[in-house]
Amino acid sequence: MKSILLNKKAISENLALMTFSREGCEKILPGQFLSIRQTAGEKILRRPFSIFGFDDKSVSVLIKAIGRGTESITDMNEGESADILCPLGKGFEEKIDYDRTLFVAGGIGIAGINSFIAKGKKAKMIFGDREGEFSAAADYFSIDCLYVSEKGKNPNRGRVTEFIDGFEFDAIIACGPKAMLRAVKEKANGRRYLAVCEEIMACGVGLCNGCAVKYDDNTFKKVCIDGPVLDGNRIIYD
Amino acid sequence: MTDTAVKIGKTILKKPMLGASGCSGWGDELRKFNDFSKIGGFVTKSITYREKIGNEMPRIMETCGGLMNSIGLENKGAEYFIKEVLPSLKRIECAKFLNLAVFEGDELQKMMDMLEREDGFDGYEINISCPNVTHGGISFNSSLDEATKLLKGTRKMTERTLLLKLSPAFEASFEIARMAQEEGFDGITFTNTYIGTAVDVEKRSFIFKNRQAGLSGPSIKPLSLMNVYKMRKSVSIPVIGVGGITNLRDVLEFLIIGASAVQIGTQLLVEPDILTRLSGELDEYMNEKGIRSIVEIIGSIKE
Repeated sequence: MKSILLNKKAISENLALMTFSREGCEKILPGQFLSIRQTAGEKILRRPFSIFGFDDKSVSVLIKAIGRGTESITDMNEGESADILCPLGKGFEEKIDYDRTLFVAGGIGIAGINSFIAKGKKAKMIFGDREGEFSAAADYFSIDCLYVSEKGKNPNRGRVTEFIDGFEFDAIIACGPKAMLRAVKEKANGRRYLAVCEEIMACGVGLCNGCAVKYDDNTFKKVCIDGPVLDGNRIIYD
Repeated sequence: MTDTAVKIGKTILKKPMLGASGCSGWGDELRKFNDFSKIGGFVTKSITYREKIGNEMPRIMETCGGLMNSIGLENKGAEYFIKEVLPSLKRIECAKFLNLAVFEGDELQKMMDMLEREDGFDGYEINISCPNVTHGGISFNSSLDEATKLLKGTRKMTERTLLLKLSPAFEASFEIARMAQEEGFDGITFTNTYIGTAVDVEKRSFIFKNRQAGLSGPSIKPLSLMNVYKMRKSVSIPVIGVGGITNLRDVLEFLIIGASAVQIGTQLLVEPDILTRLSGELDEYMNEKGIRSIVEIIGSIKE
C-alpha cells in the first residue's frame, strides 16, 4: 500500500515520530503493528513498527533508527511515499479496566504500549529507560506515567521492575526488551500478564515462521499473526 | 492474446511462476494480497509425517542482499494438515503443490498413502534439501544411493505431478535429478537455499543454534541461474528455477536460460502480492514484444 509521509517530528537524536496517510488501512486495534519497506540498497526486508497512534486519516509510528534499514525510513521527507502494510498482527479487542491494569514500557517499548491507552483515559504506567534517553519522548508526548531511569539525572532511579510493587493491579501489559519482559513475569506473580512482543521479522504476515516465541508447552507462537500480544506468563524468555 | 501457460507433469500453470515453499505459508496467508485466479500457484510449507516444533531462535538474519533462515520445517504434521489445513487449500483456485520433507525412509510412503485419499491439490514437491534439520532431510541429497533408496517407487504411489527439490550444496544433485527423471518425476525444483553461517563476534559463537542456515534472496541469483543452466543440461524434464528473483527481468533470465517455470521465495516475504504483480507484468511484456507464447522464451538462450 502506498502511503504518504504527512509529518515527521524528530524527538531526540535517533528517535522520530512519523505520521503516514492511512489509505486502505482497515480498523486498527491496540497492539497491532505495520511494516514499512525500507530503501537501503543492500537490505531487503520490511521493518516492523508498533502502531503508536492513529486517527481516521493517519497512522503514526515511533522509530528508533538503529541501522541503515531504519535510517532509510527516518531519512524520508514529508510528502514522500512509502510502501506500508497496515495493520498487521492480532489486535487486542478486550475492554481494558484502567484502574486494575498496570502498563510497563521499557525504552522504545513505549511505542507498543501507547496504543492501549485510549484518549482521555488515566492509566497506571511505568516507563523506563537506561539513562534518560527517552526523557524527551516522555515530555513530548506528555506521557502520564512514572518515568524511571537506571542511571543519570532522573530522581526515579532503577529498573521498571523495581517500581512495580508500588502499584495495585490485577493485570500487566508490558512491552520492552526481553530481559525486562522476563523480569516482569516474576513481578506479575501469577496475575494476568500480556507481553507485547517484538521479534526480528521477515514477512510479518505469517508466511515464514521466522518470528517465533516459545511457550512453556514447547510450542512456538508467531509474533506476527498469533501476537504481538502474547501470554507473558507462558513465554520462555531465553 | 498471449499464452503464458506451461505444463509441468499433469499440472497447467497459468503463469510460469509459483510461490516457493517456506515463503508461501499454507496458501491462505497469501489470499489478502493476491488474486488466486491470476497467478500460477504456490508450494506449501514443508509437511512432515510427525509434528516438527521447529528450531530455536534466532531463525532469521538479514545479510547483504539476502536472508539467512533456520526455521527447521515447523509444522504440525501430516494428519493435522489433512484435517485442519487442506480444507482451506481446497478453496484456492491456482495450482497447489504440497512440499513433503522426510526424515526416515518410510515416512514418504506413509504421508503419500494418507494424502492420496484426499483431493484439493495438484501435486507434490519432495524436499530432500532443507539445510536446517540435523538428521535425515538433506542427507538424502548427499548421495545418489541414499536418494535412490528413498525415492524409488514414488511414481507408483501417485498419478499427480511429482517434483523433486534439490540442494545446490551437493554435486550429487545432478545425478539424483537424472535418477528422478528415470523414476518418472515430472520436474526438478532447483535450487533450495545455499548453506551458510554467521558469527557473533562479541560472544565468539555461531548466530544460529544449528550453526548453519540457508541463504536466499537477491545475492544468490547468479549462483542459482548457473545451477539451473547446468541442471537444464542434465535432465530433459522441466526444471523449476529458484533463487533470488525480485522482478520480471529476473524471471525472464531464468526462463531464457532454460527453466520451464520459476519459484519466488524471499521476495514474497517483502512483497506478498508479487505473484499477482509479476503475472500482470509478464502479460504486458509479452504483448509489448509481440511474443505469443511463453514457449518462445523458455530455453531461448543463445549458446
